[in-house]
This record gives sequence, structure tokens and C-alpha cells, in this order.
Amino acid sequence: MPIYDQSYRPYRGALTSHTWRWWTITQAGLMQHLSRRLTLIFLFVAIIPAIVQGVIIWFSHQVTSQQNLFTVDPAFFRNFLWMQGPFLMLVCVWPGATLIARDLKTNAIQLYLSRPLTRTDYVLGKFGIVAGVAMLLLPVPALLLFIMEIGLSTDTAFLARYFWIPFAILGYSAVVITGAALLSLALSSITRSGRYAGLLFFALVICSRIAAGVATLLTQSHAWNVLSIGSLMDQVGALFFGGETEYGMHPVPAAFMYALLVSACLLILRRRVKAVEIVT
Amino acid sequence: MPAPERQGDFVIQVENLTILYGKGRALDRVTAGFPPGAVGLLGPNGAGKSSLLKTLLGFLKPDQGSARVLGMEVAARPLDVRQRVGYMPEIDCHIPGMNAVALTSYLGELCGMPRIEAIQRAHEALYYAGLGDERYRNVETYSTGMKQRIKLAQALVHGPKILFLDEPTNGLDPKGRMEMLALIRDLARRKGVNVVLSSHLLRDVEETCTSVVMLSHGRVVGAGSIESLKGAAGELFEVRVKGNPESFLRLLESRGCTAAAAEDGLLDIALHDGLGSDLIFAAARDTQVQVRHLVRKQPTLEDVFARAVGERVPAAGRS
Repeated sequence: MPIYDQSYRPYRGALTSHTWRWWTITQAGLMQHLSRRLTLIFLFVAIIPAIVQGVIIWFSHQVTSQQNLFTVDPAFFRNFLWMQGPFLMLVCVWPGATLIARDLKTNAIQLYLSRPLTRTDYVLGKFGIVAGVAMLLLPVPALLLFIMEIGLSTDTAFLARYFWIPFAILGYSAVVITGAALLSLALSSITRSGRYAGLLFFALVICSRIAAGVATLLTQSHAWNVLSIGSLMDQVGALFFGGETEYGMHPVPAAFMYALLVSACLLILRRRVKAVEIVT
Repeated sequence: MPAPERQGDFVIQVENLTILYGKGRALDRVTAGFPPGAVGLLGPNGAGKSSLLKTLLGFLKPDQGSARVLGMEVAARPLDVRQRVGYMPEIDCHIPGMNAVALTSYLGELCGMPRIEAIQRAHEALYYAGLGDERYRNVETYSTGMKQRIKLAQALVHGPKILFLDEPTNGLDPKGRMEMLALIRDLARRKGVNVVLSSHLLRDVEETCTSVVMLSHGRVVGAGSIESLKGAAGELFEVRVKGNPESFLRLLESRGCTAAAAEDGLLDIALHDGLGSDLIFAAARDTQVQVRHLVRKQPTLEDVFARAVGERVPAAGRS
């Protein structure tokens, strides 16, 4: 005879604060994504450039005669972050572009928003999933490389001269991750198919690059690089490293275009993430 | 509808609530009170039932009027309202890639429950909803009946004070429907949960609820306890006549009765305000029809609803 009958009873326990409810969405999404074998393989591949850079740092400290060939300076870290760009793009396609599209397909948004959650909590939670994976690819390995360089240095000259690099790494990462993640989420919110959203993301990034290249070629002006989403984000991020890039864009229009892109993404998310879709 | 006796008698109150969808009115100056216990939100498809529930959850902003749940203004405190309300949507919905335990506990965590407690409550809610052995299966593989059960479990996991059930028996086989209705009855009568059951199935509401709010074309056409509404429906008779029933019905209506042709050649006649059954025989004599069959009928919610909306209830609506 059971001593406790499984039945319904009111909940009288404590409740957590509303402030961090979005983190529950991020946490669950990250756990679900990182438990996949394909994700782990992807992360392993994406970390290879960091391993190579680590070997370069180690090598630069071992072979003194080769020091001029392997200089560890701000450009070294900026280039590393730039090299991770394609991996960031893949993260934005998967899981990024699937996150809201799948919820739209299965009507899950109504389940989320019938809880004490705001639409901002929901979007922030989904953003956290993309940002969480992206952080493993950009700032985390870059900061580890910085620590490695300090650890292998025999004096404090590098740290004294480049103490600002960790902030630059974080600033650059924040800019590119925020822009790319919001774009992928905005595209994800306009379709019920994660596949189409992913393709749309690819198409936008590549087509904008082609359009910027053609416009630059025709007008001989680098100002058109602001049309390229990838170059735009790299340019704005590079401001944290002094602003020097090969795109030749002026930082002000680049920052303006970036703000415009982020605002457009937020506007799309605001319009599309709703508990009820009203068809009139 | 009857005026509320006291403000405190209602767990939900809506006043002059209007919701516009473009040029159409989903809700048109709705004023109603929902007493504690199980209340049926009754109406044909498109009457505005789901719109009302979505407004009470804060999903829709009223174009006019206000709604209060447990004394809280929905427009001002939607999160506080949703903390205390469990919602079982009409549409099929789930979070992809999760089994029933993961989904239910996850939704409990989103209500602010600590993880361990959310998992424990998820197991309890799933057992209670009848998903004991199936709770580790991916929700995407569930049958319609099981999906209805998990929708109920997720609505219950955080221990709501009010449960909004939107067409909970949709797609259920007769056994599943009976079990779902038994759960709803148990929640309302033994577990102290206030239930708002939105349905177009009169029988479901009659079997589970003590009160109803009836909507038609976005307006409240009746409200109150089922018993009082049935009483107000008057004395009902089922009559079969030989001869011309049209003139017979017309005469009865002119003498203050409600009369309508039902199925199988039967006539439903309601006598109000102390009118006796002699009136039926007098009308038969005056229109020269023979009364072949006369049975006193127990008024049903169907009769009440038909009278409220001023039309016969379609056969599908009676179920």
C-alpha cells in the first residue's frame, strides 16, 4: 500500500526572482545544444585555430631568432578574432537561426509567454544561447591566448604595454556577437523553418559582401564596405583595437550602420515574438 | 446577466471589455464576473471565448474596458497574473526536443520554481494528468490525447490558483474525454483550483461546472449558476402534434410561451411565469391540432443556451 499517493497539491515553496528567468531559457538551450555530438565535433574543429595560435605564441618564446616572424601584439589577437568569424557565422545558422523558428513551428512561444515572462526575457534567453556558444569560440580562447602570452613572458613589459587587450577582446566580441546573434534571431523569427532562416542568414551575409565589393569596385570608394554585414561588424569591433582595418571605412558611418542593423533586428523581434498572432 | 452580489464574490471580473481585430470585434463591451469554482465559458466557435482568455492572460490589450484576475488589473500586472494562472491552450504546442518531464519541469522553472522542486512537481503533475509511464517519451511522439494531458500537466506544475482550459477535450476519444472531465471536476471540487473551462461542448461544461458565462458574437448573452439558469428557463415540455404545427407554435408564442420545432417532429415548448400546461391544450384546440405526445422535460444547459443565443443548438454542439 503506498504511503504517499501521487496527486495534485498546491505549490507553497519559494520562487526565484524574476530578474534571472531569462537565464533558465539560456541554460536549458545551452545544455540541449552542447549535449549533441555534432556540436562537440564543431567546437573541437572551431578551437583548432586557437591551438595553432597557442603553438605560435609558444614558438615565439622558444626560438628567439624567429621573434620577428611571430610577433604577439594587438593585431595578433584581432586577427585571431577575425579568423573565428566563419565559425561565428555557423553558430548563428545553427543553433541561432533555428531557435525562434522552431518555437513558431510548434507554437511554443505561447507556452513561454503564458508564464510570468516578458517578450524581452524570451528574446534575451534565446540570445544567451547563441552568445554562450559564440563566447566559447571568440573571447574565451582569445583571453586564454593572452594569459598564455603573459605566462610565457619573462618580464612584465608585454602586460604593461598591452594591459588593455582583454578589454578590447571583450569589446570586439560583444560587438560582433551581439550583431550576428540578433540578426540570426530576427531572421529566425520571420519563418517557421530554421533551415530557411539559416539560408537567409548565409545569403544576407554573402550577398551584402558581394554588393559591397561590386560598389567599391565601380566607385573606387571603400565607403561602400558598410554594406557588407561581416565587414561592418568587424570594422566596428576593430574600434576597440584602434580602428585600423583593411576596409578603409570611416568609423562613424560604420557605427551608425551597425546601430541601424541592431535596431532593425530588435524591431523585427518586437513585431514577431508574440503570444498571439492576429490575422485580420 | 445578473449583477454581482459583491465585488469579492468573483475571482475574475471584466468590465466593458472590447477587443478589436481590425474592423471586427472579437469582444464587444463584455462585462462579466467569474465566481470561485468551475465556470464554463460557453459559446459557439468564434464567439470570443479564446480572445477573452488571452486578454485575461495579458496576451491581448483591450481596446476598451478592463479585466481583473484575483483582484489584479491584468493590463498593469500581467506577470503577477500569469504567476497565479495556469493556461492550457487550445492549439497543439510543445517545446521541441524535450520529453514530458523535461518540458513540464522547464516550464515550472520559468515560473520561478527551483530546479529540484520543479522536477518533483513535474512528476506529480504528469502522474496526476495520467502520463505516468509515458513521461520520458519525447513529446513530439505523443498522440493527441497524450498531448492534451501534457498541456494540462504543464498548466498545473506551478500550482496555479486559476486554471484556464481552452477546449480541453478537443481530439479526445470518449474514454479520454471522460477522464479529462473527471480531472477537471477533481481540480475544481477537491483540489481548490478555480477553473475556467472554455468550450463549445455544452455537455462538457454541464458535467464539470457550476456556473457559466455564455458568449455569442463577442457579447455576453447569459451568465450565472447553471441551476439558476435552468430554473429561469421555465417549465419545459416536449410535444408531438398531428396537424399543422406552424400555426400551433405561432399561437403559443403569441400567448407568451417559447416554442420551437426540434428534431424528429417534436416541439420544445417552454412555459414562463406560472403559465400552466393547460395553455398547450387550449392552443391545440384553437388551432385544431391533436396533441399525441406530451412529456415534461428537465431543462438542460442546451435549452438555456439556445434560449440565450435565440437559436437552436446545432447537433455537433451538443455532443
